Amino acid sequence: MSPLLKEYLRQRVVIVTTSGECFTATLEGFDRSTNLVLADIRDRFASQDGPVLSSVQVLRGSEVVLVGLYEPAEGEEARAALLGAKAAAIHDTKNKVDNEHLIWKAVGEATRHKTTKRRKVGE
Amino acid sequence: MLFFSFFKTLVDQEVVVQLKNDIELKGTLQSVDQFLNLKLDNISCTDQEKYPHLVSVRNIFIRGSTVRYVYLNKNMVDTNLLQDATRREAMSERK
Repeated sequence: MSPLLKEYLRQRVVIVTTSGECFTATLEGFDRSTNLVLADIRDRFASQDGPVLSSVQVLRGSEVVLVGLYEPAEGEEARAALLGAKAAAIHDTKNKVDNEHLIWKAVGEATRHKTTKRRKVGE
Repeated sequence: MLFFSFFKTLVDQEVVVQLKNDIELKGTLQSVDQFLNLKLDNISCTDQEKYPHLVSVRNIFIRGSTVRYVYLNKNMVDTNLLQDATRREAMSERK
């Protein structure tokens, strides 16, 4: 349905997932909820004739962040490993707060304190 | 469908998209669909040093559900028109 990915069919693409993984693959198919059928999945910064992580795989649409058409200019692919060494890990999209339970504990204590105070005033 | 129409009016303009994984991408809006999936052309990452993953990628498809913000220029939006359209859509939904 969604025709936006049609131009990428049977081409090498770079994929970023919600968990922050990044790899290249050949796009073999897709549907309207962005479920993808991928072939020859390789690490983003590995050489394109390097080891294959998975030969064919379906990636669920809910895990997809972006799909980019991979068009390395001459010599760029050779630099990939060098760039990869400097690359920071991509965050996930979960927007998780570290030690969130401690924050809520503090909030809980603060509100409990308030209610006891209020009750005293009422008496 | 209002925002679908709204984004369609922004096609061919330069926008900055911030994703939920904190990556910011600048590019020309090429197309949108009903899920607000975006297609950007001629992209550049605002923090290329940190995220070189999209070097040698110029054209990308972004899944709408992973977008946090789309930054626009003030002159790209006619707020009065948008408000009118919002009211009209709210009216038509009530019927």
